[in-house]
Amino acid sequence: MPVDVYQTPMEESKMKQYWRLITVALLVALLAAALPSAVAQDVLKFWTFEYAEDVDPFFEEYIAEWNATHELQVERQEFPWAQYTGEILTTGIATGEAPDVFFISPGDWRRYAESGLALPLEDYMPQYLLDDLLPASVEAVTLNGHIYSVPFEMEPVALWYNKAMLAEAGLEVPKTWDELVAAAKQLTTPERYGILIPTNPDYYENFVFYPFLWMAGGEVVNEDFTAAAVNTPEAARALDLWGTLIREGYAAPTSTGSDPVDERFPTGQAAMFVSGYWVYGWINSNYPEFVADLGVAPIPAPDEGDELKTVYGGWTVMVYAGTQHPAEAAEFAINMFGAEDNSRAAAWGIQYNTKLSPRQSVVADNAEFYENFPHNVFANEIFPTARPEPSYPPEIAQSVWEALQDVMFNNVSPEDAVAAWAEKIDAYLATR
Amino acid sequence: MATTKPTTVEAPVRGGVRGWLGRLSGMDRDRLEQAVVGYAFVLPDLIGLLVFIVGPMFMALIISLSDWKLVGEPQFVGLRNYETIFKDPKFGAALGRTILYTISFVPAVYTLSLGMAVLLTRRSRSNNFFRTVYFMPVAMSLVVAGVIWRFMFDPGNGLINELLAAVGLPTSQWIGSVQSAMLSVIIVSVWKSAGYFMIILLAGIQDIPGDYIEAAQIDGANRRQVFWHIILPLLKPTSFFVLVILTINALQAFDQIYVMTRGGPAYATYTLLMYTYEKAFREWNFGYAAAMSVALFAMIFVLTLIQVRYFRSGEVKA
Repeated sequence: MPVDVYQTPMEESKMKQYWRLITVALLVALLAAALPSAVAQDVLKFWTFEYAEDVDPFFEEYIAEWNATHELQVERQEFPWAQYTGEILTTGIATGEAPDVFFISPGDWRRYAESGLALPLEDYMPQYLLDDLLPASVEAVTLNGHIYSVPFEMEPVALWYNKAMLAEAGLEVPKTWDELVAAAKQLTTPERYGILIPTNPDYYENFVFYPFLWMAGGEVVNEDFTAAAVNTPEAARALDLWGTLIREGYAAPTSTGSDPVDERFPTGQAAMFVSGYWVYGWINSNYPEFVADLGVAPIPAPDEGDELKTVYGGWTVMVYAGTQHPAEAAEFAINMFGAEDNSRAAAWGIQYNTKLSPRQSVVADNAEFYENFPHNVFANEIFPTARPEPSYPPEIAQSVWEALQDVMFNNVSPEDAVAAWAEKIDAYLATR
Repeated sequence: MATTKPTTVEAPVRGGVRGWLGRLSGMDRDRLEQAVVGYAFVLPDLIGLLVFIVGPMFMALIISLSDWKLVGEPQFVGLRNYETIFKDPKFGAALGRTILYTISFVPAVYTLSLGMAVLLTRRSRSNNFFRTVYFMPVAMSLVVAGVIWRFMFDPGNGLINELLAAVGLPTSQWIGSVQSAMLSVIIVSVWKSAGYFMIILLAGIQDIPGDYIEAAQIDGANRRQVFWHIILPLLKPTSFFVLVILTINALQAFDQIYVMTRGGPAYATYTLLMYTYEKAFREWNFGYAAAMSVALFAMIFVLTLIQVRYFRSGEVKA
C-alpha cells in the first residue's frame, strides 16, 4: 500500500491504531461466530447432574476405558442439580445441542419416552442383562413394548429414626399410622420435630408420599390411564395423615435446603425422618458419629396387618433418539452398568453410593455386604415391598403436590382436596 | 514502498471505502474516523446485545404466537396464547402475588438504602466499614444466601425465632406458613438488594454540590429540612433510576423464591416468573410461557413509561 505523504506521522499512527482496532473487533466477532462450530466436533456427549467429587472417578474410569478402545470419544458434562432437573436438557434439545446419552429422572421419563425423544434400546440389550434385571425395573422403563432407558439404581424409601430419642421416650418403632402420629407427638419438643417429611411442592414430595397413598389403598390414576383414581376415602386418609403431622406441628413445615437429606435429623433437631436408602451413605460420610444412633424400619402401614408398601426411585440412563451414533450411544449407555461382569454395577451402589442394583446378580455376588446394617434391612425387608416410582406427566404430578400442599398448609379438608385433585387429573386426561 | 506523485496516493483514500462512507454520511474525515472508532469499540457489545438480548426477545414474540411443545415444529396459533392468559386463574393469582411482592419490595428497598446512604454520606473510617458491611449481601451468592436464610427461618431452631423469643417477642412459622412466607421472601430480597442501591444513592448524594447544602444551612435550615428540600429533590434522577430498576427486579422475582420456597407453601410465594418457568421447562408449553413473558415485558414497559413521565413532570432544574 502506498504511503500517504500528506499524512503527518501522528495521523499515520492514529490511522494504524484504528485499523488495528477494527481488525481486532472483526476477529473477535468472527471468533464468536465460529466458536460453536469449532466445539461441535464429532464426539459422544454424555450428560449427568453434578455428583459428589468422590463419585467422579466412577465416570472417569469408565470413559477412559471406552475412549481407549473406541474411535468415537466420549465427553462427559455435569450440571448443577437444580439446572439439570430444570431447564438444561430441555434447552439442549430445543437448540439441537442435546446429549447422545444422559441420566433421566423417573419424573421426566414418561414425557421423554412419549415424545419420541428416547431411542428404544431393546434391540441393543443383551439377553443376559434382560435376565439379570428385576422384571419390575424393566417394566418401569418400558412403554408400549419398548425399553426406553437402562435402570441402574434403586433407592427405596423408609422410616429412619433416632434410636436414642425413641429409647429415651420409651417408644417402640411405630407400626401403624396412629402409632406414628402418637410417636411424632411425643417426640416433639420446643427444640425438635417429631418427624420430617418433604414440604417443597415438587416431584420429590410426591415420591415420598406415594407409599402412604398406596398403603391406604389409593392410586393416582386408574390402570388404563383414562381417569383419576384419587377421589376416594383412602386417598383422603393418606392426605389427612400428612396434614395432621404439619398442622399439629409434629413435622417441620419447612425444609432447610434439601428434602432428601435434611441436616436436622443427624443433628438431633428431628427424631424421625421419612427418606430413602441414600440417607445412610450421606450420614456415614458427613455425620459418622451419628451412625450408632441410626435406626431404620419400613414406613408404617395405616392399620395393623395392612400390607407394607414403599416406593423406590432411581435414575436411569437414556439415549437421545436424534443421536448421530445410535449404536455407539446405546453400547456406551448399556455397558456403563450392564456389562457382563457386574463389578461396575456393584461398585456404583456399594463403593460410590448407597443404592441397590436392579441387577439380581449384584446382591447375590455381594451377599456379605448385604448382611450388614442397614443394607440388610433394605435388601431383605424394605425392598421386597417396593414399587418403582411411577412416571406421571407434569400436569398430573403437579396435581399431586397441589393436593398435598392444600391439606398441609391451606387448611383444605382432605375430602375437598381429593375431589379437586380428581377434577384436575380428569381435566388433563381429557386433553390427551 | 516508493511513491512518486502524491495524487496517486490520495486517490485510494478519497475513492476508497472511507471516502465513500464520508460522502454518504456527510461527515468530514475526522468526525468519520471518530465515529468508526467509536462503533468499533462498542461493536463486540453490540453483537452480544443483538445475539443474546434482541434476538431472543423477537424469538419469544414469535414463539408466543405458536403452540410449541419442544418436539416437532411450532404451530402458528395467532393470539390464542394471549387469550388463554386472560382466562387463566393461575396467571391472575400469580400476577396478584407478583404485585404484592413489588409494592412491598420497592418502597422497602428504596427507603432502607436511602436511609443507609444518608447515614454514610460523611467520609470517615467507620463509615467505610459500614459501607462494606451493608454491601456484603450483594456480593454473596444468591443460592448460598437462600440456604442460610432457610436455616435462620427454621421455625424450630432457627436463629430468628430464637432471637425473637429471647426478647419476648412472638415467633413465626416464617416460610413454613402461607401467612408469613411472602413476607419472609421479601425480607431476604430486601436484605440482598439494599446494599447495592445504597451505593448508587450514595454516589448520587455525593454528586450534589456542597454549596446548596451550605446555602440552606446559612439560611437556617435544619438537617431534616436539608434532606427534604435539598437532597431529596436533587437526588431525583438517581431515585428515578433506582426505582425503575427496583420495579423491574421485583416484577422478575424468581431466583430467591426458587431457592427458598419453590413457590410454596401452597403457592403462597408463586410469582409470575415461577409460573412461566414451570410452564416452559416442566410442562414444555413454550408458546404459553413465551406469551406470559411478553405480557410481563409489556407490563414492565408501561410501568417504566409511567415512571419516566412522572419524574419528568416535576423535574428540578439544577
